[in-house]
Amino acid sequence: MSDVVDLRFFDAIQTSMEAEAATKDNIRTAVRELDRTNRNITAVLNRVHSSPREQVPALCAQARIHFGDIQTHIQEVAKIVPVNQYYKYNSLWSGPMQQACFLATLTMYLEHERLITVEELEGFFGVKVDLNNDISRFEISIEEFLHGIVSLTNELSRLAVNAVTAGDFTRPIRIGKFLKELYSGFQLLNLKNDSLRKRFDGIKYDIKKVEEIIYDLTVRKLLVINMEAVQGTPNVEQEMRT
Amino acid sequence: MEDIQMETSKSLPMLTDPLAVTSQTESISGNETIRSSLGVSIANDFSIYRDILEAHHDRRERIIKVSRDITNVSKKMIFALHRAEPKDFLSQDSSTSEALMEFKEKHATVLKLFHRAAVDLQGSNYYRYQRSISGAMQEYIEAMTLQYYMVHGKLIPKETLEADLVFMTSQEQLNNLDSIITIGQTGLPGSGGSGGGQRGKFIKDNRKVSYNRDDKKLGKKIAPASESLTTTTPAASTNPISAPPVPINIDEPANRATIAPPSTTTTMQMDDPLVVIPVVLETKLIRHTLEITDEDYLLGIADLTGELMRLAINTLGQSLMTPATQDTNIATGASYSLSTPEKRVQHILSFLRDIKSGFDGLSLTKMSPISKKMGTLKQSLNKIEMACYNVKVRGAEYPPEILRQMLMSGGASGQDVGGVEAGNGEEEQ
Repeated sequence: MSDVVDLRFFDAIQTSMEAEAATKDNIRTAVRELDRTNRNITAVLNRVHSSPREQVPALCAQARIHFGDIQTHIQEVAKIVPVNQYYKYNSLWSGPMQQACFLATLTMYLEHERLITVEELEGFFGVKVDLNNDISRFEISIEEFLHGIVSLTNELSRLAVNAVTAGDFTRPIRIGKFLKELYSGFQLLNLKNDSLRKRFDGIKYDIKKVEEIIYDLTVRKLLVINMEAVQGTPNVEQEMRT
Repeated sequence: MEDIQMETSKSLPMLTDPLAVTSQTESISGNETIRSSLGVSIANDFSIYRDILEAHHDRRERIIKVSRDITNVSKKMIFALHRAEPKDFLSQDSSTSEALMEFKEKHATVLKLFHRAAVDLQGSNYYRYQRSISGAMQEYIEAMTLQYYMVHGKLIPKETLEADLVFMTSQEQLNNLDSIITIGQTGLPGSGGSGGGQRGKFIKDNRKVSYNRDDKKLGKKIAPASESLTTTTPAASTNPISAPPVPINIDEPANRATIAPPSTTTTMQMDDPLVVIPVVLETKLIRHTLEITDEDYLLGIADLTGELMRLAINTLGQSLMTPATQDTNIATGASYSLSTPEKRVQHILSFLRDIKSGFDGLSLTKMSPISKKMGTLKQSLNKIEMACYNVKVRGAEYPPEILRQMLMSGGASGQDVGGVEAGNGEEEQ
């Protein structure tokens, strides 16, 4: 009866399962490095909340140095992932990649007060963003990018609070304007009931927070002096065109 | 189906290679089009992201719908197999068996459903939507392993299963997936339940046959034309990039031209589009394959054990039903299905034990869905063993006539008998 079931076939499956586990371990190791660099950048960028405005460009420059490391780490991960099996292992790096996208988006905002473009994001990481729903090699998925943007709204609402504390009363207004633009952007998406949807629902609380700050400032007439600066708010749309 | 596969297989090696190049150039050009329209404004960019996300959600929805249909039809395939008599599996008898005819017909339907799913599951998309299709895949594997076991008395190799899942898609089918098969037709109320009764068989099946036949005719119409054209093109696998890169999602006819494998017909199109295009569009065949993951295969086999249990209990009941007529049924053929019911039960038992020892050899994590099904496997095996034990013990005590009554008292369906036996087994443990 032993010819009924070929036990060697189970051996083959065992081998391939072990190989898959090994691939996963390799990816995990590489992703851990990526995560570490992410934390380094986060540590640098966290200082914007406590630093005077003049130091922000220096902080961004410092963060940008680390993005070189991120590129290397991503290349490490990309090397391990077999062709066409991106989504098989996607869950292993999707969290850190979302964080990396957020950090790039934040850096770009702090430098230019506008949303990062896809091209700039690709420049940060040295990999393409998947715009076609057909990843064959390692790419950044559009979901990861959008998750990064949601994280940005969260961070900016915090920045608005701290900017006021530091005496920068115009920043909350610019942030408020930017967040509303992002929110209306997100409203264009037909989101399913997934994690992105849940996080998108949180954006309105960030906006509310910033609006409350602006209200507080207005009520106390703290904005009157700086009204001119408000007029000169960089127009995000115009700047993106150039 | 088969006709298409047979006739185009000659041109396969030629077809697949240039195809890979075209699909790549096409995707790059599509990518560039989207890329160039980005960066205008947040609203503009987000509406592009929306389209990207929507394409993904739509595709997943389609796959989920097809999966549901596949699961449904596969379940019916299994019931049909349980209805079949052991002698039906002899090749000379299989065409007269109603149950097996039904199985074949359902099999054809399920393959078309898989064809439809395969179009959406190419490249990285296979793993992207794997979770949506894997349930259906397991159900299908369960049906096919059961059928293979009933015919050959063996476990079907994964390669044999995968060989069935190679599809040739014409451009016409690609542009209108409903021409492969329309989905959502197989979900009939009350068909997913238990029991393998004969209910509603005739009414239901007539309808099925008619719409299957339509599809078959359609497939045969395309096939001969494809051969005549594809065989004239071997020297013509010219540079695919020579075809103008046309953005996808913009204009359907142009889209067809870029996806189609390169051949002399591309140049012919330019010379005399009016004559050639209709022929060309019908004959371009794209090869779509589906692989089966090890996990799905194993899970399908794990599910099979439940069906084997049902089969064994049924067979055991049969052995008591027909003690007198046994000898007339038995021939000395090599086929497993010809032996006595007792032998068949023993064969199923040893088959199950072999499978179990195969599974036991795997080192699995507790999280693995396979280890969750191991419990069911053990239970199924236990049920058969206890049933055999009961027949042996009580068989000595009672005359076969009464014993048969006892076994069958649960009803005609094998599942009920199995339940009774399992109940006994648990009491005695």
